[in-house]
Amino acid sequence: MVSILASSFPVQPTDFNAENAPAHPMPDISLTFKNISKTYHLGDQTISALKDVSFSVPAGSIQAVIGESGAGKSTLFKAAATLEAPDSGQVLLNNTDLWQLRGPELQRARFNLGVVFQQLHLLPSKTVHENIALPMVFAGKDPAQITRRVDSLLRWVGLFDRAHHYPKNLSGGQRQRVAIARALANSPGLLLCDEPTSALDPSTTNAILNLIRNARDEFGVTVLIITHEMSVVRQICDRITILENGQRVEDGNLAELRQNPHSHTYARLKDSE
Amino acid sequence: MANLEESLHLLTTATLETLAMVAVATLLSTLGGLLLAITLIVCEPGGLHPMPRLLRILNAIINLGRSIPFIILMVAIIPFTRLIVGTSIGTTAAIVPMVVAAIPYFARLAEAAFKEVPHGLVEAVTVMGASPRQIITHTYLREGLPALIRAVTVTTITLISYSAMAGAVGGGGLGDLAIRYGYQRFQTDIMLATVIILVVMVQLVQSLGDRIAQRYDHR
Repeated sequence: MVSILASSFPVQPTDFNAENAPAHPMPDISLTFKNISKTYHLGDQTISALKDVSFSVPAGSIQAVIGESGAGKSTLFKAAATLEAPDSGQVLLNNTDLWQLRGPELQRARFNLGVVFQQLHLLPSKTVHENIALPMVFAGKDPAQITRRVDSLLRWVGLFDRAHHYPKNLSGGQRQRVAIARALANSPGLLLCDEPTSALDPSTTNAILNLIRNARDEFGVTVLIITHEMSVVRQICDRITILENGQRVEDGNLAELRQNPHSHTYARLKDSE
Repeated sequence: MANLEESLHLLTTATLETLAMVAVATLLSTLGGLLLAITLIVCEPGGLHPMPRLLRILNAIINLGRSIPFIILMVAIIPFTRLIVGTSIGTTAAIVPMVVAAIPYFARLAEAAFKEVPHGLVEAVTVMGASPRQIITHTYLREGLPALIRAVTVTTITLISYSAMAGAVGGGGLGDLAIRYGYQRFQTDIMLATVIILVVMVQLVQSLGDRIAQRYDHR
């Protein structure tokens, strides 16, 4: 456990093949939020986006953070994605507090973090191949290795024939798959997905959720999904954390929450199906 | 016949002088303006390394440079021009005020090009583990490239008109020719020819710039 971030990154398999990949490689990265609070100041208004939120995502699991808009999901996502520091609290990747890292140390930690943004943020001037290669370029991998890895990821997401297309020429579902492949390029221990299906039609949604589950099953990546859709939770999530007004109100698997729901949010989300 | 030959010779020489002035000035002011614009985007609030004080100073300098009319700037910085190139007359000397005037001009256009790059792309690349230098090259420079090329086009055309003004105070080139022969010696044909050459130059630069920008634009 000495500096997991530095050590686990080169240890990850860099040239996998979907067919021969072991069904369950050792998942080894857990994510823990510890007493996260964040307040925004808008003029003379203060908004408590997160109030003392603590929970864990066990290594190798797929966990959802669900809540209505304004519940603090985006703030939590930004804290976990190393984009916006919380006012207090820790975001721990195994035992390393991401927000204690600076400069090159933080850069290295980010190689262990795959992020799929709600708006995807594929770079329009780069081809599909170049987009997926980018995290590996930043990690300083050699070009031959990068090409092999990109090709294998492209086959994995079924877009090998689109390698040299630009993002604007892809459909929404295809773009989403490129974003997932790019997030997995450096074989990260943690995959963060912000509303991964909010812009997709039902059948594409299914395909994308299956892809995320395959990522966990084949590469052992731990997954945290931010969502407001119960269908996402039902289809692939092992555990759910419910946020309400910036507070964590419930935790558990779907069966537990069904039997014994405490929060308004769960009831409302279930009813909205 | 001799007269026509002489006119053609004058026009060719003047055109080449203008091309040389504009080419060198465009190259230097693009480089200088680009460095300045990168500094601005890095220093601004929310940038890679916010430095509000430096930003204020640079903005003040750029605004100062942008607010002085070129014809006045040209005369005002003669001592500086002499210091740099040893003379204040001729084609080489004209390049100095042209660059001094075009650097802040291009810097503003390049800054606008950088600000057009969606912030989400910068965030995405940051989260991938890019270094500050990689963030600049892969987002601002690469994604801003079409807008940057358009900025170079506009700057080049501005420099063509600067070069004509520089000609009026002994800088050589087409402006010089138009003043000395077309205006002072009443040679309307020379005047007309210089105007046509300048128009053609601007058209060519604009359409070439548009075409290159288009090629790099995948949005």
